[in-house]
Amino acid sequence: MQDLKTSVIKFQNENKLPIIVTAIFFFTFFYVSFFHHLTFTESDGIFYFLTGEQILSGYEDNIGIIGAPIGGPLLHASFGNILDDPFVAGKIISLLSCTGVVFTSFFITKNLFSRKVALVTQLFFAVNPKIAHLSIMVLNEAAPLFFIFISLYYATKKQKSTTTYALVGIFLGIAFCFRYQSVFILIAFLVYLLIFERERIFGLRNFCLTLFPFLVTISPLLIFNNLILGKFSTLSPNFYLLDLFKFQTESWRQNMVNIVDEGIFSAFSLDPFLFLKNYFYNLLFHNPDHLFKFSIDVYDTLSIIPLFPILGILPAIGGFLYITKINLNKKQLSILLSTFFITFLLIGLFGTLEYHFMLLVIIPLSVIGITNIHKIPNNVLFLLISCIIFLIFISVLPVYRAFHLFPIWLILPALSSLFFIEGIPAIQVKIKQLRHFGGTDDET
Amino acid sequence: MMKLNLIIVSLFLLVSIGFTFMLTLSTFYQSENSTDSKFDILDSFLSGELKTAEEDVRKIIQLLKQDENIEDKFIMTSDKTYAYHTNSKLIHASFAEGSPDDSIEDFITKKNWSYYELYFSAMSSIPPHKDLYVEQIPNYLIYSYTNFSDDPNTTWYMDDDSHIKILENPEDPNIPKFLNPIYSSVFGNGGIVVYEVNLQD
Repeated sequence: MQDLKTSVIKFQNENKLPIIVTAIFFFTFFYVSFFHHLTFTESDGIFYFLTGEQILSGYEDNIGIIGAPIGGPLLHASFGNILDDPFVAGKIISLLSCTGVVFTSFFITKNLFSRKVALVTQLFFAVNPKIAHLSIMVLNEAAPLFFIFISLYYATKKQKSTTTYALVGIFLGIAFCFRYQSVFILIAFLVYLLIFERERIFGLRNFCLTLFPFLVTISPLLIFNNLILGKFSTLSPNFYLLDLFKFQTESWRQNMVNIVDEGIFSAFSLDPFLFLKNYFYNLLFHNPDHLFKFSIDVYDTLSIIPLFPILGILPAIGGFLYITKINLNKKQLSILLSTFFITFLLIGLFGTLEYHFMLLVIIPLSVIGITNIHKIPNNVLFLLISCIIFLIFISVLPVYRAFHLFPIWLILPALSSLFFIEGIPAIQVKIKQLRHFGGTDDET
Repeated sequence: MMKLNLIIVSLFLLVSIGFTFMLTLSTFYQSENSTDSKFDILDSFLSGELKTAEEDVRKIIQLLKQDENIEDKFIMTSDKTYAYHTNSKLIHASFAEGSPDDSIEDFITKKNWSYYELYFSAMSSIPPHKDLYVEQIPNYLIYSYTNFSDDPNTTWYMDDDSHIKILENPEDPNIPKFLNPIYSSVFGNGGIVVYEVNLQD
């Protein structure tokens, strides 16, 4: 008991600032949530509560939950019934989960970079308008995000034990019971383990140590789905494709209506060309648009500069170039320029510059990243891989709201903070050195 | 020069705090005056001309609760709030269903709704059901609208030429007689109208 007390005091003393930031966040949004949001008006929150009520009452036959598993409805209904007020229960779930996200954002970033960088990253989380929104509104987003963040904390630890791998799987499994997209983070982690941690481990040991706890955690959900609902997943992606695909034809719509209950492969085989056209639009324009907002509607963005969201891409790129320790010599410059022009040519031949211009940024940066991959710390690599894999999978659909990209967002404010805290002073030193040498040359 | 990074970080954080404040403010409060500007909420905040965004919802719930049999009645709307708070039944409608040539009556009776639209409505209604062709005539219709259109780059953007749009104005002479407006409110960027539906008569 004494040891625990000592550990808590030590933890508090070592982490005063992140605890203060988290406390300010909690009390600010507690005030907004409980003194300014007085009527349950969130259709999503009401839907998840009522769906949970139906499941708990045994009327699960008619539930129409097509975009999420039953974990969210069950949590909202159970906690709502315990408090006898689903609205207050939902607000508590959202507020505590987002407070947890703000808190863990510091410790995840501390696994990657210095304490100062971690603190600035945490501040970017605490003042982000979308985190604020999620902490106040009764939705099914904050709880899975919190569990994903706990798993990211363990996944980015430099020294991993058997328990660490198991915890990554367990927390991603819990998140999966609320939102299916957490499986993309699991895939990213497994890919990372196979490619980058393989030399340090024996075969597939850590791969299995992560995957099995994940499967065990989600097994009650899969058993319920299969026994009660007659299918392993409640997800009906074709509904969303029909509703949200940008490029559609009349005949495609008519055929899609008949296969809304089927899997995504039937939608693909209906018109592969149209499917791919939509997919690449989502991947290269629509979904990254929620990160940096290329268009004028500034409301729905995760950019760290929400008033001028597109500018938020600059410090992130700066941080990325800093971490790759790129030396702009002739070789690196020629790589950058040649990949840029080849990409430009390919877009001209096969794509549309209006929708695919992000490739002009992504491809040269990826090539720079690959050529300098040995300089990037492993846990940063994992987050970069998560970003890519998450976007590759999620882009089957156009994400409806920017906050759906929060599971991969951390690397962007973290790289931006790195640029601000370490990159800018490094640039200042370089400039000073150049001035100094320039002055010396002048004198001689 | 030495603390340039601190100045930049502080600026970024201040801009974010300001933006978050404005966004949170506009979530729970509305400008009294109609305007096209998204940033008008700040002007209204500074001049003290704000009203809570939940005010209309509370008034409508109170109004609906005056109907003694509300728990047996159907409300057609896109929002689950009213049916939830009045323990009534919801017929979910996004007001984009049916054919552009449909009359209001065609729309209310779901005459030309597609299989997909019927399925989605049945699934999103309260209580949800699987009988897509069950006859449900609403007793109330709640139509809310906004003057902001979606970002044209989003995939769900539609040019709003909806045939249902006349419901925005309860005094429009083209509104059929079986719709009796009982509440309407216009706020900063949109409005809401509640109709009592007397289609059974």
